[in-house]
Amino acid sequence: MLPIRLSKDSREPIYHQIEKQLKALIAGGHLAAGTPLPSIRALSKDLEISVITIRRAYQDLEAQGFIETAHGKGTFVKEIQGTVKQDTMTASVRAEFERAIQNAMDYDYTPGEIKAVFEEILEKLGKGE
Amino acid sequence: MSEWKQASRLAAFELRASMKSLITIFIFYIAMALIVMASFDLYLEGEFQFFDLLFLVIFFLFPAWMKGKEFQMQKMDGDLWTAPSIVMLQQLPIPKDVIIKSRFVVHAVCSFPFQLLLLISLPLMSENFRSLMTPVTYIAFILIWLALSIAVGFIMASSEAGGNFKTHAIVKSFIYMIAGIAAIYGLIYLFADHGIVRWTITLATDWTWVSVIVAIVLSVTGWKYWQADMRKMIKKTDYL
Amino acid sequence: MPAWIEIKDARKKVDDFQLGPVNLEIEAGTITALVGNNGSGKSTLLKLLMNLANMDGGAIRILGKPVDGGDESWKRHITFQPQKQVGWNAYTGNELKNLIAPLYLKWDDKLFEHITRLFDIPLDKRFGKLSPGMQQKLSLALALPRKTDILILDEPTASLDIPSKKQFMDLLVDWMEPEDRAVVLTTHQADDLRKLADYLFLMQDGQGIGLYEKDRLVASYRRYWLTEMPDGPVPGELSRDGRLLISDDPDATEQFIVAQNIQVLDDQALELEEIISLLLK
Repeated sequence: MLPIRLSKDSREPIYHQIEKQLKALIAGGHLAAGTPLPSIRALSKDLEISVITIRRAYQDLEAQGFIETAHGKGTFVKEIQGTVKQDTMTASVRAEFERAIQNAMDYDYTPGEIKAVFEEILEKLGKGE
Repeated sequence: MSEWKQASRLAAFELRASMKSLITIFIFYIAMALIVMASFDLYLEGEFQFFDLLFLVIFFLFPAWMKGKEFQMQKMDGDLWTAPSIVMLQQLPIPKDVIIKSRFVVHAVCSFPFQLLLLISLPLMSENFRSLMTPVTYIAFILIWLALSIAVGFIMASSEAGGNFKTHAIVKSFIYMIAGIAAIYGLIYLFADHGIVRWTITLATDWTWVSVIVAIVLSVTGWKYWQADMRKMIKKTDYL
Repeated sequence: MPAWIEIKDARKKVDDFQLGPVNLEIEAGTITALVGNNGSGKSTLLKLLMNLANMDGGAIRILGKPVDGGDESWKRHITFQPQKQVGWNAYTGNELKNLIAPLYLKWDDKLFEHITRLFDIPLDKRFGKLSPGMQQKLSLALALPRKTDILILDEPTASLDIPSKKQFMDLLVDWMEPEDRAVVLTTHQADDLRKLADYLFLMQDGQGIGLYEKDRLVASYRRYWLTEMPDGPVPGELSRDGRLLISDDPDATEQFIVAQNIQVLDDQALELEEIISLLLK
């Protein structure tokens, strides 16, 4: 079973959430090249999502070169290029910051206040190392 | 021919599953038959009027009663009356014609052996009967009754298709049926000198070859007619 | 490829109940759940599918073949498990297997044995003597190994206990692994819908309300807690209660709310059961 967590309350489309999390698992090295992925039907049951949505996510990931389907054998993680890996990580991190900053702006934070919060969190988490 | 083979396979399952009731009823049947037969001599001397009725009941109705309760026509959901097997088999990849033929095989197994036994034991039971018959007329007599078994008795097999009936309609038609049989029976006794069984003896002795030919024609037509009738009823009925 | 099941304007009147006209297409690779109140016509529709009753109008095709035509070969490609097995009572599990298995080309004896062992089904007892739950398990053990292209299950989990329900789901998911099969089932269990269904076909009073892809259906409803409720109607508004608004068109609702300068305090997706209740109201 994959460590995928869907947020059903989020307005982000489910297939998008699946794609993003699978990409992160692959780019982060948690799913090595050659690892078999669950079948569309099995993942559909585990995530309580229709096969139509899962199929869409798998098709997108295949088109972007993250996974490949061997007919009759199943779906596997593909060897990905270093640049793709880097790009994925960057995109993922940027997206998270964007969301956080957007959230702060919704609460009418000024850029200065946002920076202060950012510094504070960085300081706190950095100390933990 | 392979349809009959398939039908026999299905019939075998059903007969095996109802073996217990088949044997119980068979023993009861033989006992009843012996009692009735004991009066055959009396009947032929014109002394026992009820013999006909008893003989007809044993001959036509017992085969239907031999089937286990599970396999008899009964009330299902809503207004559907049918034999459960008909519903079960229609849900499986079995052509309707095979389903129909399987009903006929089951009915044939439940009726022919016992009817034959009954007909064969008649000369053993009655001095009068033996003196009336030659081997040829006796065969004609048996053929007449087997023809009746098919032309009349197989209505039981065919009716297992069932239908969508309201309960009061069933009761009504049942009353009509009883009344009809009583009327025919009464008329025969009012206007004829003899009962039905005695008549068939006369047919076999006086019109031997005509009887044989009519019996064969009746058997073939009856056999085909009731199958066609059942096909029509299955098509018409809603098994909901 | 034509739809595996094609129902076109199928109609049937039973006493004073009118089913249809129903339109529905089932594709390969999908699980479709028929959802509706008791008496909404689900079982009647399934029986029409099996040609157990005559339609008053319309047409049903299975794998391209009209079910009420002279060619009955389509029946080899479909398994029907009714709510109540009729005519099975006198037979033992073994007898039923011997009766049913040879009728199907792809009968999988290993799977039959696996299911019988999994559910601990006594095969030498008459069907009529088994408990309702055991009857349902035996029915499944005699349905899945047929490996037909289409599987129709009328309330397959109604009498199952919780562990067996889970096992049933796993069995069905495995069964659907070859992606050229299709399942149509009726159920009142929300869990069946969440874990198994791809499409929901909602029925009410004999009418088909609509065929919905599950995830799209869930995404198209939303609940909002607002700082203030606008006086006039809100686009997509289904119901309001104080400052709580339920919408079946979140995009339109959100656009409107932003334009009105109203803040959303919180928003939430609706549970599948809630949406079904709203649709069947």
